[in-house]
Amino acid sequence: MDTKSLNLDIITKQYRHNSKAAKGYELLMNLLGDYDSLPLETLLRNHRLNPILIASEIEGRENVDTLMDYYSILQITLLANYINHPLPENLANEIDVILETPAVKKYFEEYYPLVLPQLLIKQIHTDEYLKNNIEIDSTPLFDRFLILNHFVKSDEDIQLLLWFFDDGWIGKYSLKDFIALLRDKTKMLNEYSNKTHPLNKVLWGFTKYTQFLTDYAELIRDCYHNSILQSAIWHYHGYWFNKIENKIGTNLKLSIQSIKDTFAQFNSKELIYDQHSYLTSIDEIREWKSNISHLDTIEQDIDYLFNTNLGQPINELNHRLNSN
Amino acid sequence: MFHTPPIFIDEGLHTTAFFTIHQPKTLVIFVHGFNGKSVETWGKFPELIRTNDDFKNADVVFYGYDSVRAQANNSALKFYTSLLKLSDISPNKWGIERDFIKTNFRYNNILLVAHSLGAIVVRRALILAKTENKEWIKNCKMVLFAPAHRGARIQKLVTESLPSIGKILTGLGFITIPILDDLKPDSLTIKNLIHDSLHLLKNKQGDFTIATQIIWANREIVVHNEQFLHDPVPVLIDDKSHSSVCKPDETYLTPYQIVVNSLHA
Repeated sequence: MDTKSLNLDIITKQYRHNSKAAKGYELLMNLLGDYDSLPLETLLRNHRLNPILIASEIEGRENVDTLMDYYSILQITLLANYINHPLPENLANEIDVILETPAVKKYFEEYYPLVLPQLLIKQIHTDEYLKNNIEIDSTPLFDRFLILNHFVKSDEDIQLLLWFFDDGWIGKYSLKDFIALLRDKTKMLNEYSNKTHPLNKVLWGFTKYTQFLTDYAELIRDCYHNSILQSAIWHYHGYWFNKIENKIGTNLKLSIQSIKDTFAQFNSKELIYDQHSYLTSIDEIREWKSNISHLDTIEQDIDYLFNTNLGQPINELNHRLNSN
Repeated sequence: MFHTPPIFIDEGLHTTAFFTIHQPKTLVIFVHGFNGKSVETWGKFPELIRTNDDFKNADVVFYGYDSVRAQANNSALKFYTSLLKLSDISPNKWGIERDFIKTNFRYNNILLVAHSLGAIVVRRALILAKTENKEWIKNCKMVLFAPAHRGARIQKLVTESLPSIGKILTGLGFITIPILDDLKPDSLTIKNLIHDSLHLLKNKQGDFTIATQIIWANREIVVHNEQFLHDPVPVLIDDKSHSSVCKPDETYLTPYQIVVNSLHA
């Protein structure tokens, strides 16, 4: 087996056969077998018009989303020259059947636009795969992409944070409480520094997610030589990055601002005698203070990732294929 | 290319493996340090492993664990459990089926490469293996980069290891990190590690506690560069800090070469 075939084999095993995508495929095929298309249309409805409240529906849609995620990853592997093209016939047929189903098409084109599966199906139809003439080997970049994604998707603290910042509640706590605690040190120490407190997990999620954003921004910058691949990697998290302007990004920045405000008011003596702080001397505090400027860098990374210009090359390619 | 793309395996936290497509003889496990990440701690190691043939007969695992919130000994216990599975179960179970691997397959050697806190985790895990009389312990080797097995300067550790927001929140006391206590030079964790290792060495059962190679950074400010019992004389690397000493790149291949040399020794 050559390297690219092995890559496809492993990617398919991990993201299609040994993940929720397998159940998503099974579910879609079962519903496709029905004479009546209504159950499938109902499952894949627009949640903004008709909310998803039943557990089995939430699970079913999660499985379908994971299948879409696999198709998005496949598209990026093609752009990174990580796998061979054309795709094997059985895989191309599967993608064709699934993505050409009207209810599924509506789901990923209209209700929750995902440009990567849209590109994939167009290439399969025309049997013309996008030529990548860039000579630089993208394998290490793609490996990094997989590793970063695995980190962000499997980290419980980060997933909790994203849900929380996207208007979620944890018990009786909302974002308002989180911001209040960042602004009030006494409250924080009295109520939230307890390891098992739910907002403590959000705090860790916040720390880790900002680190992820920095790493992801670096990965995207490192793809500068291949604007299409760069754009595809941005699109993979487009759901969150597009939303950044509305909620996630605003809430991240609000949280950073709250930390800056608290930081501006700290009292050196208090910190030295505070058993929760690791700082024990004026010298240590002086060194520690220099970190505040890094918060500006994190804000810049947030602005960079929110920059929808990064999505343009793939959007344009998609439009071009539409008009051909 | 001699290895698979990254395969995420259900052991530890974000553990990532690169399996060889040839006959494996050695299992190489990388173990990160305080606030490290399973793969990212190791710079270009994955890329070098995939593009060169030095690891052609080795399965490589980048082990991850919660190095911030869990106690060092708990992490060691979990690592030991993972090590049991990785060494005793056929690697075909981990997401790649290689026809030439039989169900009774066992690795000839295990090479453990650890950074900072990872050295404590690995050493304690091997002592646990000894306690349970695991045969494979005789075939284990350790390569330790900037090991924290003689303790660390806590403030420097936080400064160098945590991301900016983590540093600020920890300084303000918003986040507490109990594991920092385990890393103080006079902590029970370290004192007991030395005591138990010494006890085994005195009873002529502690060869496995002697590292194959120790690597110190010349610009080290985080851990105490102190000899650990019968370890060999360390290699001192110029112009590298605590966190950069284990990260090979285009201009700094020493860590890669050291691990390759230990692999083939």
